[in-house]
Amino acid sequence: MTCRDVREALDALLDGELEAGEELSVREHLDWCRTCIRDLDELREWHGTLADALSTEIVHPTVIERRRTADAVIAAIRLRRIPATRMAALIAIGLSLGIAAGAVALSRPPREQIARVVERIRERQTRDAELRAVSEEIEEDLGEARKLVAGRGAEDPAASAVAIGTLNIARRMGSDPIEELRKAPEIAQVIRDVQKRNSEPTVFLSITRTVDGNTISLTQRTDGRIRVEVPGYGFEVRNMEELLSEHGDLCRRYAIAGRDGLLTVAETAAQADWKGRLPMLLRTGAWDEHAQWEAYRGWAAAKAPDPKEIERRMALFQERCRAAAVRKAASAAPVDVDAILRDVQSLTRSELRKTQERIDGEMKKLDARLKEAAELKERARALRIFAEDARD
Amino acid sequence: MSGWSEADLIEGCRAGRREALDALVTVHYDRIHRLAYSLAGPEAAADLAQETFLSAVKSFPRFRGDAQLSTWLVAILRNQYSLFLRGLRKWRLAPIDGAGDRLPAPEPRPIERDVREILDRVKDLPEELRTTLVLFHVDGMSYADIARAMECPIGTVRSRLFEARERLKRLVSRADLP
Repeated sequence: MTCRDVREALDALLDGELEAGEELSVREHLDWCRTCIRDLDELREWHGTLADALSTEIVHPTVIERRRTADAVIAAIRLRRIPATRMAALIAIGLSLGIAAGAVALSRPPREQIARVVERIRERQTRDAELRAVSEEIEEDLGEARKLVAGRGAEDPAASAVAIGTLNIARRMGSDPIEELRKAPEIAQVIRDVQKRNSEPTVFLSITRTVDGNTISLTQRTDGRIRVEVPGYGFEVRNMEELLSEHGDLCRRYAIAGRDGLLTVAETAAQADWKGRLPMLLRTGAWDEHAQWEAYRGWAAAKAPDPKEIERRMALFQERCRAAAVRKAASAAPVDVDAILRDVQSLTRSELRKTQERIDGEMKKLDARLKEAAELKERARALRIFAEDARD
Repeated sequence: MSGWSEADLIEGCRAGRREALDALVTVHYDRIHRLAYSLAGPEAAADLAQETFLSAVKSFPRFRGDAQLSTWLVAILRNQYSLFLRGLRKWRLAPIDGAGDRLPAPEPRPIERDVREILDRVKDLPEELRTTLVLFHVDGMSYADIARAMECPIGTVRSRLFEARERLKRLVSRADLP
């Protein structure tokens, strides 16, 4: 590598943007070439001067400027005006940074970049804390529900709902260890009772209808799989969701609708009762809102067979679940921004960039987990309410 | 900060949901405004930022999502800045209640003579060199992100940065001569 080549690469070296191979060659050259080392020192100083000068002009757009843009954007697509909004004090964080000087060998990251990383780390820590808080609430609700129905066995709709619901929610939350939970007496008893009846996947739901002279038959097994037979051929899908999404044309032609445990063909439905659904829920690990309502309906029907009374109880239960769902989660502990600042200030430009990329990736996963946790929190709270109702 | 994930924000903006559009401005305005300020100066910064968001909203149906939303907005800012420089665009402002016709530019802070010298000379650089320099030093974008925003190869970003710094150094040294 000649001095001219190296001279052209020094900028990128200081920017932390040289590829590993080229960086190695440049550094080998710098090991012995005093002229290039001098150039590097001068260049580093120039980069610092430039970075300082360009970050001198930090400006704070006014709230009214931001609002004017937001309004213009809304107006541009002919929507109504929007109210003024608040903005996170990202630039304020940037200003509060006394950039660590000198100690960093490569170019200093701009204040804005540091501020962004600090803000992302703060955001991630807040989400982490939120997720922990939601998980604790879920565990508390499920634990309380289990206590309330302990010792009743799979014949009891509330006990079976709590046992299978708890197991399936814990699986989706990634709770560890799940095997310990399966061994808990009130859950193990329900699993034993359900498996005694169905040790292998069996058909628990079937419907056959003739539409425009063609006979169609649907059967669902306790592992959730659905077998479809139409004139000339047959096939299997994993569950109802897959049938509806992957075979839309066929479903429209034969008016196939419903969900797992409730199959509808040409406006005729075949529905499993709560007890019939248990093996499927245990095998598939599913626990959605429908399972929750069906379980409660099963319990309400056993309590009072009068249809009006069942509907009254259902409406009350649904209302209580809805009210619980809008309750806000306990607020998470505040994040120590100063501690984050101390860590971030010591990073070089390329380390800072890598940190930001890593955090961006983690945030996507965290967002997805939080979304799922919020749904599971509603399911867990509903189970607790169910167990409270079924106490006597 | 906004609680929107990037995917939700893009989907909401595509669908023209006002909450999503509001969040788009809330999340990205300061950064775009700051870059606009560094590129076009205090007088035009707010207008340039606004034009960037207006253009983005109109272009959302064509946003393929192969770059980050922030990088895509910077690419739009750059296009708007080019239009601004060429004087091909008449700048219009969307009025809001009680805001008057124009907002006054903020008072520049007193800064040292050397720094002012550099800032003045940056404005003398050709557009592509100046934009590259600002995206790197003001915003801290990586070469790869700058390449995506300016639709050029990474090698071009590297050579433009090199060229920008060299030219600037020469311009500043020349100005220092008695």
